[in-house]
Amino acid sequence: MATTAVPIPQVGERRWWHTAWEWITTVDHKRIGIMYIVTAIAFFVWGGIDALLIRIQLAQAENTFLSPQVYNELFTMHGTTMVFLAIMPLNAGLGNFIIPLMVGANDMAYPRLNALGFWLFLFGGIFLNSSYLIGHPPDAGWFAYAPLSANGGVMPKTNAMDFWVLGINILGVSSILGSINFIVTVFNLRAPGMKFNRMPLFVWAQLVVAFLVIFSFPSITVASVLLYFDRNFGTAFFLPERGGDPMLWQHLFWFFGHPEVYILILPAFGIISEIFPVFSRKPIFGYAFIAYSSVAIGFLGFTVWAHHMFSVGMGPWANAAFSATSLMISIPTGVKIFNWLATLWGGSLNFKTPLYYGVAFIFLFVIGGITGVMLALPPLDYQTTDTYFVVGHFHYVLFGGAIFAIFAGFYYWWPKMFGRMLSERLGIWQFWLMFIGMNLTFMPMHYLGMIGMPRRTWTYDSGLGFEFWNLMETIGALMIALSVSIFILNAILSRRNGEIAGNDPWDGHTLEWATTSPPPPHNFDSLPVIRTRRPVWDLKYGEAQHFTKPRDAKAAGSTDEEHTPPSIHLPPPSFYPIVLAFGLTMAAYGLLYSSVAFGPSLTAIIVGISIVFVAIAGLASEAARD
Amino acid sequence: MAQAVAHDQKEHAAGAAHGHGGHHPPTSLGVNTRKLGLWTFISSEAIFFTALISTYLVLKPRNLALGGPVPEDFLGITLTAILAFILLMSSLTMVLALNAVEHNDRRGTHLWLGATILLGLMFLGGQTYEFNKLWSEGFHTVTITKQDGKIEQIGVAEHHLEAELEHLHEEYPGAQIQQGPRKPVTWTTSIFGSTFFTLTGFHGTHVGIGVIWLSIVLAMSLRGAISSRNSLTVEMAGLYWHFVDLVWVAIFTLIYLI
Ligand code: HEM
Ligand SMILES: [Cu+2]
Repeated sequence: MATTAVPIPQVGERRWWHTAWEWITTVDHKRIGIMYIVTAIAFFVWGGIDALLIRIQLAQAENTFLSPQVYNELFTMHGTTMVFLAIMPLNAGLGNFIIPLMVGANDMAYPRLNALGFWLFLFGGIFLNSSYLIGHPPDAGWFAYAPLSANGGVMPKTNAMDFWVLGINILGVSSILGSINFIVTVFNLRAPGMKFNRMPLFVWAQLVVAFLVIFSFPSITVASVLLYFDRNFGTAFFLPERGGDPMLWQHLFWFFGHPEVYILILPAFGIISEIFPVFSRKPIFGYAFIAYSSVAIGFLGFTVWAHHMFSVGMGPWANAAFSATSLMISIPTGVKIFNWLATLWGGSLNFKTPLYYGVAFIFLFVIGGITGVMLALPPLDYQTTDTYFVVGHFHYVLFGGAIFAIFAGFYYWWPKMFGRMLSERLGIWQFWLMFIGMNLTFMPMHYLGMIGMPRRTWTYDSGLGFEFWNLMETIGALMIALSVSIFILNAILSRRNGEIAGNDPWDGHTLEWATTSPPPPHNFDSLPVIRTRRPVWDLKYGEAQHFTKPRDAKAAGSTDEEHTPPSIHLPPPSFYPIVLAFGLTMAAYGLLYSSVAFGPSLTAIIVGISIVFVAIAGLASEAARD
Repeated sequence: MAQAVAHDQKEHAAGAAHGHGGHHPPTSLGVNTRKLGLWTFISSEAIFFTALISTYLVLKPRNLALGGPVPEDFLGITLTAILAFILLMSSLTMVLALNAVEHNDRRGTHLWLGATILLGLMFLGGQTYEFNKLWSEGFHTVTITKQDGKIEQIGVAEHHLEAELEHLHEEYPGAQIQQGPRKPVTWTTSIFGSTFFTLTGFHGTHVGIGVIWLSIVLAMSLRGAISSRNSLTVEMAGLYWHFVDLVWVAIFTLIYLI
């Protein structure tokens, strides 16, 4: 990878800071993808530690391992971290690495913007977690229900929830910019012949997700900005005693929040749709159904948000309507499940780690889907809302669904990303530990919820029948922790002495397997002719064995009169993305203290925004030059 | 999709010649990459303003029920209509500017870009004036305790107060009528103020960004860096500008007229 266009000063030997500088200034989608994934794994571990602490607290009745306040902080940070700093960026990272390869492009449509997305994600994560050191961690839940969150979180007069508000907005900017990039890349940089209906299903899923992001994030932006005003400037959008409306918060939040759960799960659907055909040695069954059901889910996802609010008193008509739309969503979801099963059916299955995770995904996700349908019925929801039943539901879809699919994707694409295989033996060990641990942790939650154990509560009385299963859940959580450690061990060992992967270790179908592992900076020297949905398969087993030149990312975006010949031009590295992200984060720190130290805070905001402007100017001039 | 397919074939036919004159280099969709990105961004912004406008509309009845200021007493239609007219005119001048660029008409480009910027500034000036006016005007929350013990609150503009009190005494004979202290219409004194200033403030900020963007384009043009070859630079700023105008049309209709 050291052969990028990066002009490395020839000062004798290469020092570590040369490498570091290369990564800091990189605009290569593959490196950015790897940075996303590595950072997100770190946050995944961090969020996992939060969860372990929560589970230790709940292992016994009337435990005092954590104080109620710390418990609130941990479940808030656990949820926020897992949603915004683990699963979303893991998906974004896989998308970044794989999408340009899958559509046969040299890079993303806006490489510098891509780097900016990553730096904003990293800085947003650091910002959020710096609350542990220089303030109080947010403590009003990942849903930040107002007026609890508007009054200063659970502990009045701390800026805990300001960390949350500002952090979420930095991450929101990152996600929106990233999604614009995905949309434009998929729309505009497809290789010749890569029509929409030949696009890999992972690309379809990520495309729908990108639209979900750009249409749903503005809602949480507005909600959180209004919350910030309530908290710091004396407005009362969400304060009922002064005319505000807590329900408004819930509507704005869940209008974002429900699409968000599909933002988390659709990439998983995409990964599964790639893995099943390859490991069944068959084309995917019902390609069009899977592609269009993603679109349908995307649409319907915007019509169901108030199923999170059945018990707040919207009235029977609203409840019935949102119940109906929620039930409708299970139709396109079911369509996918049957297509996946039909893909496996009669295939000659190649039972490797990715397929283990894939099959388990179906099993676990269906359980989560069924409890989802149950919760979508208001009478049942009245009984189970705010109990552990809901916690069971969403962990089956998020852990059993999203995380299992992401691990499937890791085992599948890791060889392409790093050129070496992950160990199958460790992979299978990891799989069984995770599968058993996952079920042990989350299955009893359904039962506990049914018998009345409330969620978001730091402890429970003894003698209610909660003890045994809570202890089991804690043991399950430790198994998951062990399993994740095995994965990290596997990754490290693979870097050192994993088996060399070769270009196409799984006998793949899609374009990423047509180049080297890892791919060169420009991705492809030449592309197979794309006449079907499985160009690499055609290349290996079909008649069509032609090559074409890949599309030039730069030429597609350029506006020059004299068109550069279709040689490959990659944009030079740039340090403006990290500078811009730094400026924005600095402004956010300023806003954090706006109500306690106005002067310094204003200075930080002005300096931060000036840095942002300088960086924008720098980026614009670089864009004009290439 | 049919379009994309058709384009694909055209592109194959065009081969290395890259078809249509380099101005719009080939992309899978046939739309310029930067323009597509801006469109995507704008669609996201549309949701942003939809959420803000919804917030205004949802909270409006609560504002009235708690004796907040009645919007009609404070929002002068005349001024806003003028502002709306100014912005719509600026959309027109923006179109003329782009047309001038495409015809390599340097003077026209400068003229119309300048006019657009000026109209934008006039809009911002008008908004500042309106904000100021609101801040300096007051309202009172009048509490009516009726004989059957029911309590009602209404917000009354300072300039109506006397007439309104008289009217209330007539309408509810025997009711106890209490007049609250004078409060200016600011961001924090009522839900109306909070929602109104937030919404129009965010819109005004967008206008401001548009003015800065257009000024940069104008500066480039004055240095001779803009011609029909890179008219896209002007077109992009224009797209954004038209969007900001359109948002004002929505705000004008939903907030001022209804
Ligand atoms: C068949 C589709 C689904 C339906 C009908 C459904 C329905 C529901 C309902 C009604 C609730 C509210 C329960 C309550 O708070 O009382 C809920 C909560 C939740 N669901 Fe689902 N769900 C579905 C799929 C999913 C998927 C795919 C995900 C994520 C990948 C997901 C993630 C969540 C989360 C995170 C919550 C809890 C939010 C919170 O209160 O913090 N759901 N679901
Ligand atoms: Cu939902």
